[in-house]
Amino acid sequence: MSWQGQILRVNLTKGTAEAEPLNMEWANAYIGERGLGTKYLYENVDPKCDPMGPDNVLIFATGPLNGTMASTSGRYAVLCKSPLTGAIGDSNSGGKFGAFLKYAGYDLLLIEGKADKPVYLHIDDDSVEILPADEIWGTGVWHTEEWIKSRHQNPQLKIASIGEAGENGVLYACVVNDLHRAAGRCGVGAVMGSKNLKAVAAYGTRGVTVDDPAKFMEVVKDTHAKLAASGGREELTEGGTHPMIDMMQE
Amino acid sequence: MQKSLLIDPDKCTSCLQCEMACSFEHEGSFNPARSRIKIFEFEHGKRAVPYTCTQCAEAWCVHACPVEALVRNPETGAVEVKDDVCVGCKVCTIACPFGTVNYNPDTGKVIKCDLCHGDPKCAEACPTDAIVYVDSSWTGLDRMRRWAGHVDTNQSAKA
Repeated sequence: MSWQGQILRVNLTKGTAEAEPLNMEWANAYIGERGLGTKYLYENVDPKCDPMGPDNVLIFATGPLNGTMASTSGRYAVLCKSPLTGAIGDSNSGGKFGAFLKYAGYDLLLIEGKADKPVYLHIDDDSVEILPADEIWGTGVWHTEEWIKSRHQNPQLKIASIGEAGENGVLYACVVNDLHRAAGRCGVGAVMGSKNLKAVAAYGTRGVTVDDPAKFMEVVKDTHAKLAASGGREELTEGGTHPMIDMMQE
Repeated sequence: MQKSLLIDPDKCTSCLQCEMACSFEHEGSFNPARSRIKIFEFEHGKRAVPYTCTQCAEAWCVHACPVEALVRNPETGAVEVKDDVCVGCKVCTIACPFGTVNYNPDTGKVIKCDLCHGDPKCAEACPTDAIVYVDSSWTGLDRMRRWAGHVDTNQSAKA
């Protein structure tokens, strides 16, 4: 499997960021970003905690195929105790952020605590910095992405951030990545805002490897062809996920 | 017949399959940071443009290299980096006016597009045909055909 084998644990109260080994037992038992992220959430959060308080944790999780050429592998999940339902909140989004978190060397990012003033997280392989975000607090995600990229002189940074809704605790606030992609469910943006975390910016050069490259690419190409030929694709291409709203509400 | 990569930005969706395929072929891992082809987004992602080496006939990088590590493959027309000769001086990265030769700090060598020795993986991976591998002498053929349609007076008269 194409795991990087480590996760990044950031504590915003203490201002610390430490890599730790991925729990392979969990990774194998709870396959995919949703399962793995939920397990980490379950083991790291007190179910009775205030979802908008410092004891909630915010998790950015990738899956074993993330960062590879496999179809739809760009999806990553944002998890926390949901302020909207009080239950496990699991939202997911596409784009490139998840892949680049993994290229930086982390299968999962776990954020604990609460910063005393607005901050953003800058991840560049081994280098992880918690930096002040006063200048972008109160601005939208487009401006935030532009500001961070220009500040680090790296247009290839992939960024997941919140806008004013998340900052102000709107209970259905999104986390938006790559300008147009949103983890829109469960109020994950509100929880990110409650931690004074404006954005996570990631870039990595480590790449993702697979055990059997030839076999892997054979399956990838086969799946691409099957998906291209399957029905329903046109609706999604035309209307995005809107045609799926009825199904998702069930 | 020599072939070239033909890029049509109008068809690019910025999915990065080309960058992943390129790095997988050359580095053995999916790693856009080490891709020889790059996608650039403009207008907040509304437009995306793939860009890579065009294999100049009179190549600045070849002239600049002090150790003759950049060698043209007569079969594909691509300028290839001889890793056992390259000393990582990076002079070619300065000489290339297009920025398509870059340094890989992991290996201490430069990297550039080598057309995958005649079977470019980016073109194979591109799901929208924004990157295709065609006859070098006729990269303009589709565009000519499109404009030819405009001057087809018989066709206009019918419309």
